[in-house]
Amino acid sequence: MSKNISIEGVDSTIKFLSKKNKDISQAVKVGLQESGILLKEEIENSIAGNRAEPRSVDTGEFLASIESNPEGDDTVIVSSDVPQSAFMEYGTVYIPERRHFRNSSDRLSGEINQKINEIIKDEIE
Amino acid sequence: MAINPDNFIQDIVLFLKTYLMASVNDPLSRAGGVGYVMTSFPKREVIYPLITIKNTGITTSKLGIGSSTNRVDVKIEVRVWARNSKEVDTITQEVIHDMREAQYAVSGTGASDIYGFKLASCVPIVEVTGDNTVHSKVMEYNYLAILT
Repeated sequence: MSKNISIEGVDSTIKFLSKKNKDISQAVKVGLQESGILLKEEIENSIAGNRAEPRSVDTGEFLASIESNPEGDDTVIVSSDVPQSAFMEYGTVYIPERRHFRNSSDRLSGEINQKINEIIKDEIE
Repeated sequence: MAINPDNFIQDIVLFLKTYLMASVNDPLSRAGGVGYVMTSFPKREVIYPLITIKNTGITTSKLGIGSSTNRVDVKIEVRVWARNSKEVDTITQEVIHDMREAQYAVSGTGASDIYGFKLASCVPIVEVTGDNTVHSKVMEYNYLAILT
């Protein structure tokens, strides 16, 4: 006498989870890009003098230089390539720091975390 | 020394300042009263190398519903200012080493209720003004403390 035990639907479950994995990755990627743009705008507002930090606009070169670029699937880099940006951010012997990047990131970190959490939760449900 | 909830910022900054003053080697022999580790960039004439240390951010969160105990996350900026790139690198790595070791020292951060050591970033800044170049490295450390 013999008993056969079989589990049905394994293939379809694997396919389902694999699709979910792709959907979540794609949604997180989009969410990160949106977060990068949000942070970019917050930094621009900070540089323009609409936040607590001092206004840092003279020619407008620094303000116009903020970029948000995705790198890989799970990273977005918000940066400025003008040479004075590091001096502004960290200060020098002669000028005090103007924490446009770090303060903006601190202000938005909770909102961005919540946004990514909600995206993942929506995709799982 | 435990962290006093009324003075936790000063307590943490002054503790780290005192610790670094005692542990990081000063390459110069300074006259009395001239500091090597300071809590702000000096307004008088500066003698490099120099280390500045300050608090740059705080967040708190409650440890449970109805709890009066709070976890406080503290960002500490340690900046090394030096005369050349070799000097800034040497002092920076000594600071990192000593801050790391401080977690386990008998009178270190752990013993003083300052936990969660993390070096979050280290950014080099090279400032050229005329014939002088000031090399600095800005380190951001994260710590946590429990306020009761």
